[in-house]
Amino acid sequence: MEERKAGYEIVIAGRNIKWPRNEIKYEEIKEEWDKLSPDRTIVGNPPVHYTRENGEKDIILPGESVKVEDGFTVKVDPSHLS
Amino acid sequence: MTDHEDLLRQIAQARGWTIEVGQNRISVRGVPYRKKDGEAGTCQVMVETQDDGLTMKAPEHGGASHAAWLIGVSEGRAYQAIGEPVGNVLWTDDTNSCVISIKRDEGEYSNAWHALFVYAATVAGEVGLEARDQFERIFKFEIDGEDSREMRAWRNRARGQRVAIVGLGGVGLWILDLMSKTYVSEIVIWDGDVIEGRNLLRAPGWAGQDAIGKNKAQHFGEHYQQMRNGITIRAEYWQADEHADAFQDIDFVFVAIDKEEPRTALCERLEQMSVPFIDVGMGIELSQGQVRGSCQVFFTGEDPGRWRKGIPTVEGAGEKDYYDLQLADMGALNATLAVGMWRRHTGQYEAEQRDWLILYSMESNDLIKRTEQQ
Repeated sequence: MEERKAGYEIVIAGRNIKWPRNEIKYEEIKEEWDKLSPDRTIVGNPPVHYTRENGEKDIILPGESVKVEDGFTVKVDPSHLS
Repeated sequence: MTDHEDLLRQIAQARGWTIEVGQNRISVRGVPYRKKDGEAGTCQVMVETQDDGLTMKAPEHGGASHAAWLIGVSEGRAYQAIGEPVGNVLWTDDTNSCVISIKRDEGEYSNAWHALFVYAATVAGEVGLEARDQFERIFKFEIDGEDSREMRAWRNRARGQRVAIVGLGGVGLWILDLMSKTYVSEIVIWDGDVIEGRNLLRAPGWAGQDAIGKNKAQHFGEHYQQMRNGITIRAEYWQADEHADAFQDIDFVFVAIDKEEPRTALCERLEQMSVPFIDVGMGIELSQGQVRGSCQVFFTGEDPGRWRKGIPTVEGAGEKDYYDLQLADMGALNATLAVGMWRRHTGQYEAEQRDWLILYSMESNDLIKRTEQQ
């Protein structure tokens, strides 16, 4: 396993945090987000966008997980309106 | 109006036929028919009625009360694909008109509209799709350009399809605009909402100030009916308990509903009925003086149940910014991505892969996609 004791520097809700594993689940992101940004929590199950330091961009959907490394950054768009 | 009259009027509108109601007769003009040599033409199908306009009356030249006139048919007959005349020919002038009888195994026609519907559908049904293409008018004006066999074959990928758009907000109206310019035969539009000023800043073109206060489906439906046939207006909200079977004959649905509960109910219903659909929506916010956010297009694709994962449930979130920001460009982009996905699904556009989810991020100006696994 590629685990590092100190964890990984990732960015959730605009805050730098240490994440202890090299993988994070959608539900864990949501939980962390709501702790870090209690005045702007994630409502429902919107897709979570992420960006890696190498510029790669993708999304995570409910029930999915993704590998993380330093500089991994997530953001969420709050609504689904038309 | 009887059910058959309603149905026939819908079909006539979709196909560019013209219904005429006269003294003791009802008819439909512009119905394609097959000539003896296999070529296609158009004719008038007519049923004579009693004074009540519903009870059938035997034509002068034919003894049967369930008989119908075909007028404008070459050599006085319409033909089946196998080369035999359509129906039992009771009388013909051998040049232009005939009276035919088509008996139903199930029993008598319930009324004159029922008969007219069956006769018109039977006559038109003998004409191949490609030949019908020449006669069944979608747009209410002439379109210049090449009309090669290949071009007609491409148009036929859309022709004959019945699609529905549920919700005519800032994205649904753009979908209506784009879909009304395709060759689908029918577009059913649903919305019970009334037009407000902000809707006019989100809609394509300029709907006119008079539109404010009118029903969205009614107003915009009538607007596009000036351009094309086959727009069916449902000036009401789709409701699971009242309209459970509304999409029975629909080939594809665009879901453009804001509200969580009806959207979920509609997705469940479409999944049960195996009707493929696309859901659209956007999440935008005003943050530190600038707008950021994304829009999303979800397609059921190969997995009718994955909407539970692919469509966000975010009831109430972000509504204020969305309603205060009028971003017609984002609505147009969201709709363009949705209609493009439908075109790939129907084989109109070449596709290197089959996408089932597309997200456009405003701040990074990127498209992120999920694709069917090979």
